[in-house]
Amino acid sequence: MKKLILITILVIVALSLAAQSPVAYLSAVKGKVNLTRANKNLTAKRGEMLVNSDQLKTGSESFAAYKFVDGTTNIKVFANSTVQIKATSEAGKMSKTVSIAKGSVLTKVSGGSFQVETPTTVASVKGTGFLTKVDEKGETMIIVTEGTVQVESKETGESQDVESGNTANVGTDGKINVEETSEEDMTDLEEEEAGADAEGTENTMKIQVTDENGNIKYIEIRY
Amino acid sequence: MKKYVTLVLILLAGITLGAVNVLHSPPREFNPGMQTELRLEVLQGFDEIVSAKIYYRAKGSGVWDDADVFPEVPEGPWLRVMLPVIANAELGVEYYFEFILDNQRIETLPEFDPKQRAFLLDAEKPKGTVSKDFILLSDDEELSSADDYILAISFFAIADQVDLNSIKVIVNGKDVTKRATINQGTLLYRESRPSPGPKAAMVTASLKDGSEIYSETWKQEIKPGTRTSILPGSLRGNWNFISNYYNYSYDKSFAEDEIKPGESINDAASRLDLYGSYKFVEYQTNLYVSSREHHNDQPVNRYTLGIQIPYLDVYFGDYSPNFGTYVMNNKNVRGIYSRLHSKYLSLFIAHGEMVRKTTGFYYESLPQLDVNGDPVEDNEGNTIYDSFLRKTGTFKQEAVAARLQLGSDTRYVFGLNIGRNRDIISSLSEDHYRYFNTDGDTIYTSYARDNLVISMDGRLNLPEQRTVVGAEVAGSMYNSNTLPGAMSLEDLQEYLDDEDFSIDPQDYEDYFIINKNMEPLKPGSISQVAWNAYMRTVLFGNNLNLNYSEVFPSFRSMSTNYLMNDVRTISVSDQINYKNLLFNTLGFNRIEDNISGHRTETNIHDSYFLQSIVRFPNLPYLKLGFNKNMGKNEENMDVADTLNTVFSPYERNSQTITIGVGYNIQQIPMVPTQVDLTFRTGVDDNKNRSAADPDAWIKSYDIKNNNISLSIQNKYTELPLRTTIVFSSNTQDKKTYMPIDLDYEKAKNSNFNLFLGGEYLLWQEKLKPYLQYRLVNLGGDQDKQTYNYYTLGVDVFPWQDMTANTSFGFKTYKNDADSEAGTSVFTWQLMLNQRF
Repeated sequence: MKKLILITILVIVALSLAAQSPVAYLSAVKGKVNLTRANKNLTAKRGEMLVNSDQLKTGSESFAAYKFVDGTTNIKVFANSTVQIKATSEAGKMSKTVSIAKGSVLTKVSGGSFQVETPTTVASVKGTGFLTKVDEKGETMIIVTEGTVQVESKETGESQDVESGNTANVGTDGKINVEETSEEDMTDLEEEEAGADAEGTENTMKIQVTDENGNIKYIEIRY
Repeated sequence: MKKYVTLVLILLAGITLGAVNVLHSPPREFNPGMQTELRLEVLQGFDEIVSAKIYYRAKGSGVWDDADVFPEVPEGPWLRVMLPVIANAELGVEYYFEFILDNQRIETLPEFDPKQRAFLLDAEKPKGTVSKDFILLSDDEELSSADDYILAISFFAIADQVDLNSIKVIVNGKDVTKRATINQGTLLYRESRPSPGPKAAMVTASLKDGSEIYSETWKQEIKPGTRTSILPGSLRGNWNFISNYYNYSYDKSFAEDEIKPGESINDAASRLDLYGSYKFVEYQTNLYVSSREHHNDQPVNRYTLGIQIPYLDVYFGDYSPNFGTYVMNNKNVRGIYSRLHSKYLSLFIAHGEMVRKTTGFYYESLPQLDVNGDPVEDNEGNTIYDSFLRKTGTFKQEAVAARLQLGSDTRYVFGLNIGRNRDIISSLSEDHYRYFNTDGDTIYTSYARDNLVISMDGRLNLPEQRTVVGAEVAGSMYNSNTLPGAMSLEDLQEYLDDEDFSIDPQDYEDYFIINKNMEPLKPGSISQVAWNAYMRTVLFGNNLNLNYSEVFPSFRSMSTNYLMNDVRTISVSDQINYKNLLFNTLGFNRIEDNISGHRTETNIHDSYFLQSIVRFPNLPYLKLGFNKNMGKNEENMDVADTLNTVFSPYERNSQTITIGVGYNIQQIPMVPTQVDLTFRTGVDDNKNRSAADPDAWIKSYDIKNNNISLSIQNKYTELPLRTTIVFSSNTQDKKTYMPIDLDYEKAKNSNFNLFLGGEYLLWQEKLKPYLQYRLVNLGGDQDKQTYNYYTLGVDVFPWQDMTANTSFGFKTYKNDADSEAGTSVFTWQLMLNQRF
């Protein structure tokens, strides 16, 4: 019994240690970005190290970017998006997954195992660049810009390879529809990237106050 | 592979030239991302060095930066400087040293053309192998000083193999590991509000199997922040301030009018250097202000404003132009200096004040004379003197010079130089340079002078043959007294006894004053010429250096320093580098005067030298030095017979042998120690030929010197502590011979020096207190004297690029033979330096 308790403790410690090892580096933050770790809300700032199961949530006109520590994958999380970072390592290799609850995420992968998971889809990639969009209904769009993405429907188990220049749409019914990427789709991609690179807009708020002498003054708040 | 460069400053003959002999042992390691310590050993002339600087740059770049070199130990013999991290130094770093001596002469190491022959340190790889498994995660394209500097490194692939405790993070030469967060597979270092400029970062580590690895060096440029600058464009610079306070006390009681021994006066000085650029304009301001400035002394303050645009540089204020060796060199001109330049044609002009007008006085003692003109004596038979106040001063001196240069430094250069210095007579009142004696004769205490120098120089650079040859020839006209003004043509014709002479001096008095005080009176002879030629080449691994110069007796140049007249100089040196293990420098110098043949005797000084260093990797280094100086005179029979003078021949010989060994003992755990042991022995004697027996020589003195010195430096690895111990002992046996009975007086003197020092780093290396003690003990047959020096100080680095230092010193002096000779002095020094 004592041995069992001891082993349990060691496993828990080992797991906790493993869970706390950084798996990604937050390289850019713009606007309102929340980081949730073990159900706690933290301030997301550039230079933060991310651990397994961290969740990032970007607000409107906000942006975040991170890269996994094996140096093979760069992720851009665009405005109004929620993603969860998952990564496990074994024998010096890292298995990486980005779980997208909603929003748009641009991924560039140069090697290693990587998956993008949405409510309806699992996309496995190798040496690829692609944009994943998940709308409010949970429908997923994957625009492939480089390489090949294997898209698998969670609902039906159907799997298809999507080549560069094509877009895969996966509906809530699980059906995968692959078409050539339209100009409208490319414009969406370019706009997302442009929005991420642009400087944040500065807003100003003025509050009118009256001092003890009856003079009207303004407090200006810039954000 | 480590490469070393060694060079030795040539030891010129004797005291008259005041040269220094400096040995530079190159560093064992050089890493572009780390600071490097450079040390120099001054074998001779340490007391003559007022200040020293190192000039350095990344190989291939155009701009030289500089830093001050400080004595490692007060009174020498070591000088030390930290070479900072230099951006883009993958190809190596070039550097050279400059020494300002107390006679205001400037010497460099390497001695000749130091910029072309600078030391070169090749970048060396750290220990171990480079590992691609260190991945830079924070590869921001643009960094601003308003944002944090973040270094995020992943070593995920080798996380299980790396010994986490061995990881070192180096940023711009500093070990910042303690401020980094290291996890399994990643490390993170963050620096808030970094200074603009380059950042070079790398990581080293050991694997669990004992092998060592290191990352590549990551470089990023931090751009200035978004704060608005007062001036347009970019701006950088440096400001420093230094002040000294002295408080003396004496064992002896001085009377009110009694003069105390030389005391240093409290002083303060500040220097500001600004360099900026805006579009195509570059500008600079250099200001130096000192409390030692006095309107009646030569200026100490310096004010310079410089503007550079394409093809044109202009400097207002103080500048030291360089127009060849003989026309204008190493002298400050306060006025305007401009340079119009293109690739193959340049025009330089300088005009301003070189010497300031000053006034002064002195008392001249003259014997009282009776009506017969004989000296008057008092009751005891002593001559009675009267004291007369005499006024004196210096005239304001105007200097103007120009240089026309053809060619470029990479291949050939040809230059024409002309310069004139003139003392402005109207700048000084007559009361300050002229008076009349009792006989009604006019006596001058100062003279106004005129000087005109013209020169041509040429240099040919043959990089394929690794050879440089060059030469310069100059002629001068000098007038030692322009107060009478220019003479008339008739007077000149009468003086020269040449009625056909047609040059009217008064037509040219705006350019040069011609009168009887001119040297030479009739231009066109070789006596007013100076010239030199040189060649440097590399032949079969030998760096050969040949120099020859002659300065004839009437040559004068008021815009240069220290040209001995009527002198011929020959110097030959050779440096050999055998597989970077053995370095030899050997050479010969000869200085011979009376090349005009007008003096009754000729003095000749020869010196030979050899310096060797043997350095094997991981073994002690050995050094060997040999210097021999010989001086003698020879009678010039052509003149001696005519003048019937008495010739007193002499011969002087001195030689020194130096043997040393040094080693960096890394094997001592936790305390790597640098040890240097040097033994030096030398003899010096002088003999004169006997008046009674022309074939016999009589010694006038015979000196033997022996010196041993030991230096131990410890750098603790576990503590931020560094200690230094230096010990040296010198004994001198001197025999002074009596000329009459040939007996001699013997004296044995000793000099013992001990230095102890320690410094400690605190507060994340922002505070460095240090403590020093030095003992100097003079003994033997001379009066037994003791000097004690105590110094307590602290260096503070409160924020980036800011250094503050304050130190308190206490010095005591005791003389056992004179109880009233004791003195003590308390000093306080404050230094501030900010780079921005």
